[in-house]
Amino acid sequence: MRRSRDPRHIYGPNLAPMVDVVLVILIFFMASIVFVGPEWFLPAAIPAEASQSEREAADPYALPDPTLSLRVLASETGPAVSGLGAGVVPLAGFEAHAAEQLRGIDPEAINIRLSAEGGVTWQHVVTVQDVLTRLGVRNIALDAP
Amino acid sequence: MIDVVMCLIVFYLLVGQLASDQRSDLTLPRSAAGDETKITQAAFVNVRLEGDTLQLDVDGSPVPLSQLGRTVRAAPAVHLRADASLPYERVSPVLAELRGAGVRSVRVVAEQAMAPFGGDR
Repeated sequence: MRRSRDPRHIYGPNLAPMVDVVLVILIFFMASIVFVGPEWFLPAAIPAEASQSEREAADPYALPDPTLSLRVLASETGPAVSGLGAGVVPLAGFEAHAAEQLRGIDPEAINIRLSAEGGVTWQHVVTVQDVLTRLGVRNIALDAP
Repeated sequence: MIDVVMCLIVFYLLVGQLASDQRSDLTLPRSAAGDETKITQAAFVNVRLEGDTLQLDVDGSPVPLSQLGRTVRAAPAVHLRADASLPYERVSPVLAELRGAGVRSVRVVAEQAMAPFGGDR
């Protein structure tokens, strides 16, 4: 016996809930991709020789090192930077300070050696490197013990 | 429509998986400057802290610190992906190990920040 088909009815599974679920999954994946942002690459040298203070300890008559040694400090008021001009500058104000100190100097002729004391995070060091890179300094070295 | 949506889901799933594998679940430091050029066949050194232990991997393969130099020596460049919250004193031994292997420069990997910034991030 043949089953009669009513043209007013749609036979087969209802796809509406599946479409809803699939669209929600699609939106989830699209949103999660957005959070993975693009990457930058900041070149940094790893100096082979000893630092100026180590050389001075070995030879008190050593000539001044043409490299600027910047140190990122972990002060009570937050991270700070010393070594560029006089005094210690909070990291938040380092860009303006560095721009002032490097005014009139060819930034590509400057060598900077960057070190950090305990309690300073990698982000703080990269922030200093970022500021110097934006000011045109190309020769930046990360100090290693 | 279902076919297209399914294809899109598979695409985003694969891209998301590849991206998360490469980043190795790291929170990269943010930077407003840098170079977008990726050097082909460069070694990606991922550095993160699990508990109190420093975990290193090169292109996804775990490597002890003492073997790091030997592992990356042949690579044309070294990309250093360290977690933003790592203390610098945990990253500097990695730099020292690379220096010991004759590596004279690294490319610090950061996430692009949209605008210049300063301060404690």
